[in-house]
Amino acid sequence: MATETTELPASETEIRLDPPWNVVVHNDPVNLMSYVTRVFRKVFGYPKDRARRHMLEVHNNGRSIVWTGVRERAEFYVEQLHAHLLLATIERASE
Amino acid sequence: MTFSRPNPKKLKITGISEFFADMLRALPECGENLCPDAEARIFQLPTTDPALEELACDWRVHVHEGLHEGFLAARDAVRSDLRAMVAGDGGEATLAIPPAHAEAWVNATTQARLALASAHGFTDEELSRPMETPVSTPRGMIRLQMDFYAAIQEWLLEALD
Repeated sequence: MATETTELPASETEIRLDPPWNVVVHNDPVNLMSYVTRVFRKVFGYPKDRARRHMLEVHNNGRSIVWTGVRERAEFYVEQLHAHLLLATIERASE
Repeated sequence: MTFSRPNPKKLKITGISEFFADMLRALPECGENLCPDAEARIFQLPTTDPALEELACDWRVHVHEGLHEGFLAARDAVRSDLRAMVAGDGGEATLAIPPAHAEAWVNATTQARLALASAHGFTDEELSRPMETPVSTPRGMIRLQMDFYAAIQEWLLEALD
């Protein structure tokens, strides 16, 4: 079978990447520390140490960025966190 | 009252007095007919950024409906276990929680605790301290109810771990 090769004209292409988004969990006085740790393990698959570190950051600093990446995935994680009743928001990573 | 796990397939609370049995029966209702503050807390928005208003609108339409269904399913699982709660000769009840319902119980106790805290305006500071208000007061009773649900949750989380 004969194949033809077509040469495309050279062009300048600008590729814009979607900036990363943060998933932020905020402190609330009701949810138990053990519960928050467990949710981080379940939703993100984090090992116990990392999940506990984020939980302590939420507890001590009022918030923790628990995940950063593409927006669609960030929204999915926030939905999961809301289903577990954790106080969670999405924000642009540059904020 | 005793929380036990005699084997991996059994989670049991025995020796439940009538007082605490009533508190257990009230659990699913706590997550219903929410006051505006509790509604806003339980059905949150993913952002307060005005630039992301479209996301917030989509969330109200698409995500909240799924959350309503999930929370209702958890409360229904709890209700079915509570219907099977039996009282012995001495009046003390026994509650069996199938391990398959443990997640539902964790979710329902969380709903209840958040709803009670919002409805009764418990502050961060107040909740970070051990219970000080006498149980004889309405506020003390609510705090006892929240702490009782928290104890159940801690026990279930240990079992699930």
